[in-house]
Amino acid sequence: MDDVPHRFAVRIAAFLLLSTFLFGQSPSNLGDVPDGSHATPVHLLQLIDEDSSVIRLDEQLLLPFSPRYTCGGKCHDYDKIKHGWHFNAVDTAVESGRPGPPWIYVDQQTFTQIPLSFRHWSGVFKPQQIGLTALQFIQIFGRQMPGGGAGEQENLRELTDLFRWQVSGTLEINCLSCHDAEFDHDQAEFAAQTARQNFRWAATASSGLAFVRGSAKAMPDNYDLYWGVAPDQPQDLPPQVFYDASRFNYKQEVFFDVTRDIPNRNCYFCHSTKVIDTTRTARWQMGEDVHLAAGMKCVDCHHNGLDHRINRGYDGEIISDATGKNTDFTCEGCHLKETDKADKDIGTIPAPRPVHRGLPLIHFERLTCTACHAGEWPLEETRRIKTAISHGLGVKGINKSEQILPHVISPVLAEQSDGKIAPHNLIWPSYWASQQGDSIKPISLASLSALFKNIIVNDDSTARGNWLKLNDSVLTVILDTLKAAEWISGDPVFINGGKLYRLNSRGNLVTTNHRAARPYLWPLAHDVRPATRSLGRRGCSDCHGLNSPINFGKVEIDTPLRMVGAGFKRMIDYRSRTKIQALLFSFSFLFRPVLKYLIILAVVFITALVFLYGLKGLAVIVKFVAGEE
Amino acid sequence: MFRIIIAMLIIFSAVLINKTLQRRKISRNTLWTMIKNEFLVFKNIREFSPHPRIVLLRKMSYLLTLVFFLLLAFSAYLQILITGGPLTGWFLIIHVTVAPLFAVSLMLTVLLWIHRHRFEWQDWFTLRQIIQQKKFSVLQVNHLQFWNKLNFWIFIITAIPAMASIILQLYPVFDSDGMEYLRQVHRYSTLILFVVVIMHGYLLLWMNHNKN
Repeated sequence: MDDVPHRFAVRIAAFLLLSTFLFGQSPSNLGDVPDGSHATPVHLLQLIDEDSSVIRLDEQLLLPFSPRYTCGGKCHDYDKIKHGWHFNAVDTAVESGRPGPPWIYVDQQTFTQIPLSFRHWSGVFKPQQIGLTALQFIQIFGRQMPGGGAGEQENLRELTDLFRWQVSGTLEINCLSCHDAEFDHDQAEFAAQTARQNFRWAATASSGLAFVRGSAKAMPDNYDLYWGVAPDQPQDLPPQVFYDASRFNYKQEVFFDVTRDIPNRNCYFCHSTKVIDTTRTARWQMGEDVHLAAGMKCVDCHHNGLDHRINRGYDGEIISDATGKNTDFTCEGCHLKETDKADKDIGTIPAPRPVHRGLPLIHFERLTCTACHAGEWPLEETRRIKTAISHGLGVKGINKSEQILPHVISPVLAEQSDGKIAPHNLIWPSYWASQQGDSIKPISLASLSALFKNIIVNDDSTARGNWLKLNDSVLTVILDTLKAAEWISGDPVFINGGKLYRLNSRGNLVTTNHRAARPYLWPLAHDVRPATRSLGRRGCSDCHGLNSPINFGKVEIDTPLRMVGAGFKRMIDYRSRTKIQALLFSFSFLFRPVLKYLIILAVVFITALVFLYGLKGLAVIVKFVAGEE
Repeated sequence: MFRIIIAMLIIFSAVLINKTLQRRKISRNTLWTMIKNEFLVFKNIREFSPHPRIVLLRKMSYLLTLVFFLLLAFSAYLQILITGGPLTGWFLIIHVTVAPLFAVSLMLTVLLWIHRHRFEWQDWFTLRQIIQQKKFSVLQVNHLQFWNKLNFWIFIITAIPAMASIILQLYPVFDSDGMEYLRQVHRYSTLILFVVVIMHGYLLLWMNHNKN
């Protein structure tokens, strides 16, 4: 009799083991495996909230729909998708690849302009290094994010923000940010919602299915989502969702016009660039990438599989362990790669093969394709640009001033880590830090704000968003004040315009070079210009002239410090070659026509003499054959 | 591949010259005297010829061609040996600066030396003698002269594609594939030139030693 419970337990265990074996395999979700049809499946779906409950319009408390459960759940593998490039910056195991566009934290009042990223790019700071919590980071930069990442990574959440996260909810991946083909999709509304800490409502508000009002930010820490009103703050409006009833059918289903073929306009919300050029005012003067103008889509090159490891398109990129190096969807992959007959049958896009007639091969070894074909045409001086993620382009109510911070400088023809020259965007970091030995540690922003209120007087730059006025005496006062502050360990320093400013033992301001003050550069690849607008189309002098911008173009040193003045560096300063080398090599091009003719003359002359003596030798043989000695 | 070939060639030539020096018991001082003797001709130019200026020009052009060629080889091969990458920086500047000078000096050298290096009936007999000879190490003066002539002709004939291939790259005639072909022609033709120069050095050692 004693064996009965034992046998029962064994049977249960065996059953569980078998069940695990049979059903525990993770089968592909409904929408993850194509059946071969090229038709787009109709996405008529019930909305599901974060509690996994179907949203019904007749319910008293309406919650926003959860993309995780509505798009994920049975249909798509959300857990796999969330490791995609757009969401995996916080994943420390992911290869960061070549430097990319940073988030740039700007605070006009404290002269702060600092590149941030969760990725391991040299020259950027982790948000926590400047005292930004994940919640604050999302609140500021969630505007140009498709959700996920820091918005839902729980181990990034600070203890101090624990209750705020309960109120704001998780910023889940908003699949519609990219996949929504409907024209009423409003990513700017998503940005507005994240700024109000309405993280769980953001996807719903931007979808065009509902209207969301109220602000989680205004709610107290003890706000209860299911209660609906903040008991102590009846005057503040809690977040509320109002669905458009006309979008629901009798089964409480909603039609989502989603597509795998992402429209360019969806990419543009986060990936637009505006060149600050007062001579180009009309929209048609802004230009467009040659590929898009030819009718291509961003996703034709920047594509991905279910894992959403979208390829960035640069040479040597490792997309994932499974796929290895990206060699197909790069400039060379499409335009230069030799394909044998078997490959041609697969259906890759037949990109035109460039001829590059007369272009010495060293150009392909020393330059990226983008050096000649992408970004703005390099001029004598760099320009400033605005990018969507650094300036919040497209977000409602942004300051459209052309002087607004951050000041992103472009194009800078700098050398990449692989030794190739590529066009880059550049930003000069500007921040307050404490120095201990050679180590520089940024000072937490929260500590600075209060201090600066008493020192810096707002000037007319405030509205324009430009640097406020700063001179050496004000800087000395600030550094002196910081020195007196007990909460700073080490000597206070100011990093700005490529220099480190500190007070010496006598209290005088001194300037030094420091690696922490170096600019952050990231390569750019768009807009790609057509061949007729590429460097070299006017001949060698485009790059090898004595004043060619590619070598000697001025790179602006951006600083509010009037005592430094408008300084600049040269593009050659961002290469391993020296100015003298570049100058000497360019100088040789002045005499190059003469040198060419000399060599041609030598070739012709030697050939003629060889020919002459060859004929003489032939004459001797002919004489010999004829019987003469 | 090209990097390996160059490395092997340099090692081979160093070993060859070193062995020859040892075998012939030519010390460093003797070698230095040999080189100095080459330049002594400038000092006593009038003793050697009734047309000293032509002799001077001939000797000068020869020495300059040799020096320019070694500079070109040094700038190209050193970069390839060190980095394996393309010619850039100072090496490139040296290379492109010396190249036209080399072309001019080579032109002069060919003009001033070609007649002296023409093949005659005597050379035909020397060639037959060399072929029939079993032991290569026994070199006679006429053999050395024949080899020297052969070296000269190989050098000037190979110099034509070496220079033409680089000059054609500077005109918008060929596409990237064509440019790659031209680059290979330049690489391997200059490699032949390098071998010829090494052989020339080797022959000079023999000739000078025989003289002494």
